[in-house]
Amino acid sequence: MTKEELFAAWAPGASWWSPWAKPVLFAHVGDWAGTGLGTAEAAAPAVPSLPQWIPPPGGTALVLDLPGALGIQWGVALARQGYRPVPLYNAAPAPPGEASVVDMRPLIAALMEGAPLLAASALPDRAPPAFLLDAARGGPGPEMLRMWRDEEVFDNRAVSFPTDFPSARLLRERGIDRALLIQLNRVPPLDDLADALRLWAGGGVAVNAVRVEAGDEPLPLALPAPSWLGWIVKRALALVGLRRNAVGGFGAWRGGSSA
Amino acid sequence: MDGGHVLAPLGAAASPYRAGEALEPAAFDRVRRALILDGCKWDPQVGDEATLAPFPLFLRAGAWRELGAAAEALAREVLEAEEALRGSAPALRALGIPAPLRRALCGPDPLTPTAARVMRFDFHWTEEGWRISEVNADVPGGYAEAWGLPRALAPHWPGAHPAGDPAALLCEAVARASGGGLVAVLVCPAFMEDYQVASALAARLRALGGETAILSPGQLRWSGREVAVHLGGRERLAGALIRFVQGEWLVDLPRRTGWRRLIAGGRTPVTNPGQALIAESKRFPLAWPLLRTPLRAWRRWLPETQDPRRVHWRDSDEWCLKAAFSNTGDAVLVPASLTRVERRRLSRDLWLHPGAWVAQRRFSALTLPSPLGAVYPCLGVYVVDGRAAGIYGRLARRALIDFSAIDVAVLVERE
Repeated sequence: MTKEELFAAWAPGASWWSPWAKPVLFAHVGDWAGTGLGTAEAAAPAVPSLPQWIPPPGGTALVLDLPGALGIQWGVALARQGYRPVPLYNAAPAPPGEASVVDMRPLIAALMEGAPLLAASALPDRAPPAFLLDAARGGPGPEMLRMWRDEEVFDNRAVSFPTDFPSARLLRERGIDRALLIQLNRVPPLDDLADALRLWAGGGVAVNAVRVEAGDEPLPLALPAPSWLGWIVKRALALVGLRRNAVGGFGAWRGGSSA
Repeated sequence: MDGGHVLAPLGAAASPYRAGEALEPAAFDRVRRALILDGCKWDPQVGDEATLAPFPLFLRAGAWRELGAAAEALAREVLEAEEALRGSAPALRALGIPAPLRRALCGPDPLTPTAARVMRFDFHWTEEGWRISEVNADVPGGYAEAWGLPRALAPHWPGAHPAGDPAALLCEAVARASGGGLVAVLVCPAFMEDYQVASALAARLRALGGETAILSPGQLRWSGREVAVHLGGRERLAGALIRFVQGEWLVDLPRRTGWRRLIAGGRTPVTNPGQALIAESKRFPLAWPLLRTPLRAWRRWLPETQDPRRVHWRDSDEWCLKAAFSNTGDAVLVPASLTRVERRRLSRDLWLHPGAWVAQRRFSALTLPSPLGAVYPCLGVYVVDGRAAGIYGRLARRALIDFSAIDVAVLVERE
């Protein structure tokens, strides 16, 4: 399967939500041709049956912040139920044979595996979105410093920005006024994703959250404004260029400017 | 396009450009997919905005010649100013350049050699003719949009052609500087819009037959005064380095990275060199009185620029305030459009950090009718090693080019 075919399967031209699909992973698929990726390395477990709490396709956007390829497997399962999975994986894989901070190989393999299933799902162009993120995008936490110092490891950590998503206004124009955040074992979203969800909530999209492993039912997600200290830290990070501000720019103040 | 200081009058005459009609959706979708899958254009959607315009901007051939000559003149004056200012600590302080960078630029070590120089001057068509809002002298991007997009659209309009391929000129120059050796490309992790530029440049270098390694700043290592890259379990010396990390960010890197040698004391040629920060600072015009060179081109095309403490900006819509080091228009503020709270916050920041801001007189950019409605075009003209090399076209729906701007292919009409 070529990268063009793979991208077309995951981001068909006519789908309402395809413009938001992140292309970088697909652009690198050709690097892995002939390496066997997409066959043996796709050791992902079969997609479990979806929980009862998944709302029927309609006025809800799903946001799946799940580690590694798990989100893709869920995305394929959700496609069978009428959701359009939208891959927001925004990190490049290491060249074949090299190590990276975030291993993207299982994701590429899962995208390849899932493509025929997606194509067979014959989703309507206006199917509601299920945005797919890698919860491990920021790297391995406490290991980060060690990785940072390792010259041989390809640094491909990534950050999710509010501008990776459609706005609350657009969602509502398209009949979506609810969002459900699905994570493995935590309720509060990761900091970068919280910015986007906060903007959605402020724009009239009700945000719920659920933990997959805990067997919870979805509950409204509290999205308090960042603390004063948190704001200062964030601004400092933005100013030194280590992290972007809430709208995706570098160190800006004005939340009003769109990105 | 040397032009030999051809600074012809550029008064507000007939519009120098026009928007073309939009390409048929299926054809444009093919262009878009080719760019994102093969052209390292990995941010084609920003929020609700599609960032690739489905139509070209046609620029008159004469206007391109004028812009190219103007950009080359501006670039020459930047080099003259750098030569005069780079050893002056007070001047560098006035520019808002952070102290560690000042120490590197003014210290005893010789400046690290330059692999190639690339600058991008952002031109706007106004009621008074062309004006520039700034030069991206440090780490200009936009190469894929400046070449890949026009190249993909040009076959649909045989009467026009891309202005040039700045990445080709830049990569050829860097490859020459590397002596055929490995070229390291330094980029910050997580900034995909930077990473895509680094990837595009690395791909172009490889297409020239070179070898490349993309490094994050934490992976910067040195062998003596030369950049060392760890590849395949062994250390390799880089023949050149493309720094796609903004200069003012370097000061936040750990000392062990040896970032200072990217500025001074290094032997590996670097693009762009540290002294590029002089013109990158939006406070560059405040240092002009220290120069003997007349800076005719800059005085002609850059709007009046002042220290914010010397002008009444608070209740005026004649001035915009810019952070000395801002990117993608993110810290360009029009005080009159701010809320009272925002204005108070701005006043406080200016009081605390007066050397970090500059006031620039606003100009009246003219809108252009287009398939997207009225837009404000900005033509970023690249100069690579003194030569005008191409145009990065952007369109904004308001009079500010920022990261929400829409990339547009600029095609030069044949005469």
